[in-house]
Amino acid sequence: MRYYFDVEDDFYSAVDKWGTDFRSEEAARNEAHRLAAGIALDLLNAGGSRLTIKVRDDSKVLLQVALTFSVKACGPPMP
Amino acid sequence: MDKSGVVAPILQRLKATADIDQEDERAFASLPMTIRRVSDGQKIVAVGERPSACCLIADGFVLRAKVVGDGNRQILAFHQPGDIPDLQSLFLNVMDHDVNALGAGLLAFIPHDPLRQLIKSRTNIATALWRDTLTDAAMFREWICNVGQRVAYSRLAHLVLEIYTRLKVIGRTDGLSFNFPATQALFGEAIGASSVHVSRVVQELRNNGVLEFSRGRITILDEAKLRSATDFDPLYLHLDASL
Repeated sequence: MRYYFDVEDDFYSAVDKWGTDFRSEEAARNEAHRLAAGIALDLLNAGGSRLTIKVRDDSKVLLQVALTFSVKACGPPMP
Repeated sequence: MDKSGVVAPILQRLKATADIDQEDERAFASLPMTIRRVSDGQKIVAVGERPSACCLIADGFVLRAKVVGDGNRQILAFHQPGDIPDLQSLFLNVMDHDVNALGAGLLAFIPHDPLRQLIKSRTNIATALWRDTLTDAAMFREWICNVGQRVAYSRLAHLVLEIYTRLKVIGRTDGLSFNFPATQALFGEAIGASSVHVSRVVQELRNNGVLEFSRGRITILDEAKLRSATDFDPLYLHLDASL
């Protein structure tokens, strides 16, 4: 089965034109989690704060993974 | 391609880093070989198989990979003309990973027995192939560092620099541009990121004027920027025997 992963974050927005084959919807969901975690690190390093991944098959949106995060300094500044 | 063309890249590479005399070269070139065309993605040897020959890449590329529990694949290495990606099968009988063609290629299969004989009779060849195997291990160590410690942007930059540096040695680069037929999905499998994540990184690299990926061709737009995007030190490739 072919699944498509559309990404939107603070700096980047892309509709997945090619898609990727996965054995099951569960495998595609795991891929969305892995993708979210991977991009989240890049975004945190770049000062971003939001990320949405939509997982589609050929006809409909199956799943949406959305992350928002904030980084706040606490206490005295780090040396 | 005739046999001298098939063995030229490996002899050139071995000679650059080890003592290989004319007799060694003649002995290597007289090994029996079966030359076969392979198509993109074609299986060369798979986990669990007991190959009776090693493959020398005459043209094109080969990848080594392992499929993990849930079906995801980790690419372990990319190989280019002059490499023998499954040399280990000479002494480790059962394959512990898969070897597949990357793009169309031309491979020369060298049967194990005569290759073992050659190693016994020609010490220089044995030493050169041992050194080659150690360099292979050094590259695996670097790939562990790449996948385990660098961020995706830096991982991809590092991998591109490795491919570029190795291709340059065998004269397969055209200035800062070279053919390398891996898709974004394959780059993802090599750096431990999903293909969609690689797309994001590729766009970032392009927007920053660092790299351009286009239909199996990679162009370095700004070499200084590419080098500053990662911490590539070619020492682990052991290309300079005088060090």
